[in-house]
Amino acid sequence: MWNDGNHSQKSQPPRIRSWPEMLKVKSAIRLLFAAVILWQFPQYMIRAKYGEPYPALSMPDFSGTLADRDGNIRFRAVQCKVLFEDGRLAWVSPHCLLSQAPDSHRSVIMAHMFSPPPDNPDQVPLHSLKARLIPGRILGHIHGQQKDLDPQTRAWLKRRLQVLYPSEVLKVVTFVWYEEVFNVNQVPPVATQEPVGTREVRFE
Amino acid sequence: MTAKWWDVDHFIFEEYKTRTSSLGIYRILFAAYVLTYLPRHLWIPSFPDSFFDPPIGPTVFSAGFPRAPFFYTVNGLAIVAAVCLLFGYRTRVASTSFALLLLLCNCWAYSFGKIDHDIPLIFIPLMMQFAGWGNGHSVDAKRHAAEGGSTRKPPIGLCRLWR
Repeated sequence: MWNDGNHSQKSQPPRIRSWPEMLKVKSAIRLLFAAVILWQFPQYMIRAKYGEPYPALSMPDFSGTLADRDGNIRFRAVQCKVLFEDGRLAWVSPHCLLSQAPDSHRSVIMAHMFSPPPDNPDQVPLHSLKARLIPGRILGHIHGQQKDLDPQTRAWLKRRLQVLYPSEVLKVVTFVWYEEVFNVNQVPPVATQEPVGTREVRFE
Repeated sequence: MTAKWWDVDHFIFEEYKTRTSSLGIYRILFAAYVLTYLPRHLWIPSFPDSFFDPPIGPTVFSAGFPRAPFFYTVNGLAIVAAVCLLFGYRTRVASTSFALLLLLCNCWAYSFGKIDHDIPLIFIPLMMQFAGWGNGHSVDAKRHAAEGGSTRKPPIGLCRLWR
């Protein structure tokens, strides 16, 4: 039988629950287990419609990387090309640029903030009721869709690159996006790079 | 049908028989691990609010990140809670506080668009305090002379449902 573990065995005798009381406690525990299982369904629905929630009862998926029909496995990657006033060029990896953030966050931040600008960005009304109720969600969406980087992000990028290259004057930063393609049908596997797009940020 | 219900009841109430001292050792190992894990969120204020991209959750109601003193304070309190867990001092309060403080900081850390797989670090202390992990090898056990007492199995079973 389930036993209450907090009773002191030396100082006082264990409290014996009556049957109705024990049944009530047991029913509550059964309900708690049922609630945890049943909550999975609305959570999957929220995930499908709005993306991963946090906090959540189940952990996020590992998306993995599937091979297409031709046996190609694709990884999206980015390098940051930095041109200085004196004509010198430097390549900065996302890990170096975002070294303050944990490793697991870097590719997601790069994709959200510095992806190639969309051709037709969504028009999100900033003064709508939705924007007032959940500003974080709307601002996040806007920043992911912007054609030109907002002043805050530009200032951060400039500060960060000045930390990495203190003696240089920044001119242009280009985020070069490409796909690493590995063909596993060929022996040995062949690796190629396919361009995806760029985002250019000018500091002149 | 009755047999199946009995199986479910067995899973909930009888399956995870654990000694108080074993749970106490688990609590100490858990606390020792989280003390190597904290402080955790002090990098967040180095990014501007334009990086804010929250998932569905409590941070959607905000328009940006809290400033650095918030994260220093919350992490400091979480470290105090973890030390209390290590020694089993006021274990219930320490477990709940640690879980809520870590959740609070994680909500902001995951507002960059990436959610890590560390939700068990929040769920475990919340559940295990009900399982009686403060009743063994702890200051609480000495105070209440409860060492050697039994544990509650259902919370451990509930942890098993987590994925």
